Amino acid sequence: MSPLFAVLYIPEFSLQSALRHQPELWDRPVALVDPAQRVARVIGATPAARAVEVVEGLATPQALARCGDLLVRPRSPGGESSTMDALLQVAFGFSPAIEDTAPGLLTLDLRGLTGVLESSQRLAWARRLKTATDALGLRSRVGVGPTPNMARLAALWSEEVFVVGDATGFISALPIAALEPTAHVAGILAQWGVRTVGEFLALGRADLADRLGLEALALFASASTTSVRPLRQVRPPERFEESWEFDPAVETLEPLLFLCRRFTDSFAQRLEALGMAGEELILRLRLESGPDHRKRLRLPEPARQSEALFRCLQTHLETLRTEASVVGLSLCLEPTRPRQRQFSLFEAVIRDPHQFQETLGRLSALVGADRVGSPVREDSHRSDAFRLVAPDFENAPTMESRPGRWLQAPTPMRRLRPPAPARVEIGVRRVSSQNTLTATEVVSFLSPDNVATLLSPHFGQGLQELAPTAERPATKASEPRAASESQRQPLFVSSAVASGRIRRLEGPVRRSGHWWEGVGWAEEEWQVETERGEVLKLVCRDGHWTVDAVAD
Amino acid sequence: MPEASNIVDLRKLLAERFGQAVRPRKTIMPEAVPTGIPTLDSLLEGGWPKGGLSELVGPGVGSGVVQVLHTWIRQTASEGQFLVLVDAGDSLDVDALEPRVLARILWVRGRSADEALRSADLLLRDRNFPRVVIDLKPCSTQALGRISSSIWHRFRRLTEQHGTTVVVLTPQPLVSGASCRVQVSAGPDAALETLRFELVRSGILQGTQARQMAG
Repeated sequence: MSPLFAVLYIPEFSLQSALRHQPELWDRPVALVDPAQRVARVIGATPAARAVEVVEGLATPQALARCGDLLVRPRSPGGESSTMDALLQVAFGFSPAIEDTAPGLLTLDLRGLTGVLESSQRLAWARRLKTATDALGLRSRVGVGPTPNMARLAALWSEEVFVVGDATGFISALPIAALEPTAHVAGILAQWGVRTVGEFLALGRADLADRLGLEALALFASASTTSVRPLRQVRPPERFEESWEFDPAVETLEPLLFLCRRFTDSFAQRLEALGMAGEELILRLRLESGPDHRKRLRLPEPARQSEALFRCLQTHLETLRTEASVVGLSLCLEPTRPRQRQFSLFEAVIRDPHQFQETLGRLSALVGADRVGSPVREDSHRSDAFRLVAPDFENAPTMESRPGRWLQAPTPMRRLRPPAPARVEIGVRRVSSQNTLTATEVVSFLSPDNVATLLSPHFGQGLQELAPTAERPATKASEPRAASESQRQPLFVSSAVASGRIRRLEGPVRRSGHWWEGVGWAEEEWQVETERGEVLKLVCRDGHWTVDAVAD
Repeated sequence: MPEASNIVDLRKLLAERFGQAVRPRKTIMPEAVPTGIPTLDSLLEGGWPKGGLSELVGPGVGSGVVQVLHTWIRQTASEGQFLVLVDAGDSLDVDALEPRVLARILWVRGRSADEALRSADLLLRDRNFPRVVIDLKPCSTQALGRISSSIWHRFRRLTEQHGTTVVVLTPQPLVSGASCRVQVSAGPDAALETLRFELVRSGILQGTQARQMAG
């Protein structure tokens, strides 16, 4: 098996990394400067900038003097690192053996890849690699050759894609500068009239070594068409991170969404190459003032589609209001293995989990995050103690079908949240000869505070004046209590939701809890039916009566 | 058509020989979603129309609307399905339902009719939700009076488009163009089996649902 290598080369890697998310700037004069240097000097420039003599080494004022429209961008080591991660991840989709040779230069060992070994397939394969890399917003070159060095020279000295067929002919045609001689040797060779590698090799290895010394041997080795060095293979990092600095700061949603779309496109492509899926997105917005906005957005199920990732971000950003302008955007993705499942025929599943999550997000924005979800009862005896959790219908326990049992279930009621304050008369009731209830003693009313609340305009509409009657004598608190505590029952209720004498009742159900923690609670619950047929759930807490629920 | 006549003859022969065994059984129509209450299912010929906008009217307090709702929620859970409850009055009695049933509810706790309808609009545009209940019963008459009839038209189109079964609980007839409208009233002891249902035919019925109702 003849060896075969490919080199993926990104010319002006630092500049390309800086402009990766703004490809439109390639047509404008842009210079890249390194802010880490003592004097900021140009380290890269676009063709439009080079056309007006903005070249490497110029100080920033000099560059601006040559081109008034020049855009100066700072070098971003973090951005270069992210770009390199992206390159490795994309390249891993083409070959498992990759060497991170230099910034912006990857060497791929293609031995064992049967689809590439056919000569007729090599060019198409190299073009696919270039297309995949260019989709990251980069302008790449790809070279394929029998040795790592041949592939590197093919990538460096070609326009876009080059596959070395005749290695000797290819290397011979290259200019001598391709071998990167020192300036001294390059000057000597120029004086000799040696312009190409072929002319250099024709002079003979021994004779050149006699005249130029050891460097000649090194140049010969560089021009070798058979020498294969071992690659220092690396694994692509499972790290997905993109960031962007806004200059000037942005206050609207569109620029954020625009960049988020680019980031998710990049993530999607890289996930595809690695055969992974995204599980969680971590969004960070750096604000002009105040703390950063950080949000972890968990995907409903692992996904690698750009649309699914983007919609998750869009739903969150559309409902977000920040206190200050945004100066930086950072997006990380937590990868995981894609989930494979086989659903049963009758299983109820969410058809589109991402749409489901998006709708939940919109509902949360509309009614509040604490008001949407599946209810779960709290571990408490207190009535109406529950919390809402994120729905998980696919893993919800199944329920046995027992329609007959449902018919015997207790009558459900309509909860009042918050409970309606009520005025309740308590006393001992006795059944008269006509099977009607009469109160012989009334010993408890609401506290004066609650009465005041009831008489407020909001609650006063349903309140009726409780005139003493023969059946319901007036309260006499000082009257000796004839009945024991256990015999006293609600006799009359008055509230905004229902009022009237109580015809039937059930209870009391007394509950208490947390008394051992100093925050104890206690409540007494009665289910009563008024003479109008309204069924209510009356609850007394700390001497205050409320209507907690109504049968409807 | 010799083959067709053979089949007809065969059916006749089987009917003569085996009688009841080959008589076509009455089955629940696939277009209906069972409510869990036999009398109501019988009235609706199987249940709520699938992909239709239905209205359950419960006038006054204690009409039995909540019982119908809880029974349908339990029925849904027993089928392994899930249900969305858009609760305009935030009035679901959580204590009255079993944890396994609660796990199959998506509960939207609204504060007003307007908020509930906006939530329902979002939900109906998402084709993930096969069953939706919009509980407007606790809303005031004034709030219900402000609801535009165009909302129901939009909801009806969305339900037909996505096959969503939507039931709106109201204190009075409200939903214009509902596929079916049922009025419920409580019996003497307010028990589920004593609830009385009355089918109120809507003037605007279309398609298969109209034929079902007519049949």
